[in-house]
Amino acid sequence: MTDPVNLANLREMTGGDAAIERELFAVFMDSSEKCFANLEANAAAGQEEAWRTEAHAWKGMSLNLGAESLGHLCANAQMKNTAPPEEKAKILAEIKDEYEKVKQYLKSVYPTTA
Amino acid sequence: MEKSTSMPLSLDQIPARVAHFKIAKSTRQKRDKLGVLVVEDQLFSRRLLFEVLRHEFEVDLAANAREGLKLYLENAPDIAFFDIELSGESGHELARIVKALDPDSFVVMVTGNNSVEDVALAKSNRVEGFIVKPYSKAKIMESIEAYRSIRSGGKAT
Repeated sequence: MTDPVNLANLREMTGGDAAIERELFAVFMDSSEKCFANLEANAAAGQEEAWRTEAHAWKGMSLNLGAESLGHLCANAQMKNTAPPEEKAKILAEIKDEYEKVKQYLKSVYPTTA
Repeated sequence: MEKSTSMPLSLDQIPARVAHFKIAKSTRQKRDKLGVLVVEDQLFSRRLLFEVLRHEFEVDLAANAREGLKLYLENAPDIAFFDIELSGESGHELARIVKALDPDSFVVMVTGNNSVEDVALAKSNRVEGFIVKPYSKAKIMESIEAYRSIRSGGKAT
């Protein structure tokens, strides 16, 4: 089974500095929680452009981290910003599921990561 | 850590900053390190780019176009990376203003979309580079090498 995050690119950028990686993982998780909450709120309020912008932001972050599957799910969400509520609910469920895998993976790399 | 930025500059306040910009620009050839400005609205991605650049360059970070323009005028960076999709004014708008103010600028657009429209706008703004996310050290350094090769006599870093 493939890991939900490929850290090779990120580690080249951080030089493998564990303290920096811990900090980046914490920032990623904190930002992701906000993105998810915002996407849920945007879906509930029918805010299509705000949904698209939020999905775009999360996509970029995810790809930069190396969480390719999560990035692709966010790209799909970005494209489907005008989808009906039931489809957005399904998209959110897929994103949440993949994000949980990413989060658990990051926590396993540095068990003390918040 | 990131440098803090004060109140964002309103785009209509540019004339008040131009005199300072000319002074800052005049120091470009005398710098020990190249100055790099990163305008990126995602904290994670901004922090990641800072990590790549901080050892070799003087780095300024901004989260939106207004902060970016303010820092550009204050410090006259040698190289600027502008994310396209920002909250408020876009990276394209920032590039258009910077190019008009500073013919010697070296601007690299960054995007997660890679759309035909974005490429066309970047070309119309005559920017020097275009990076599609994800970021990588190789992509960033390639842009910096392109800057060095264009500037005759290159600077030590």
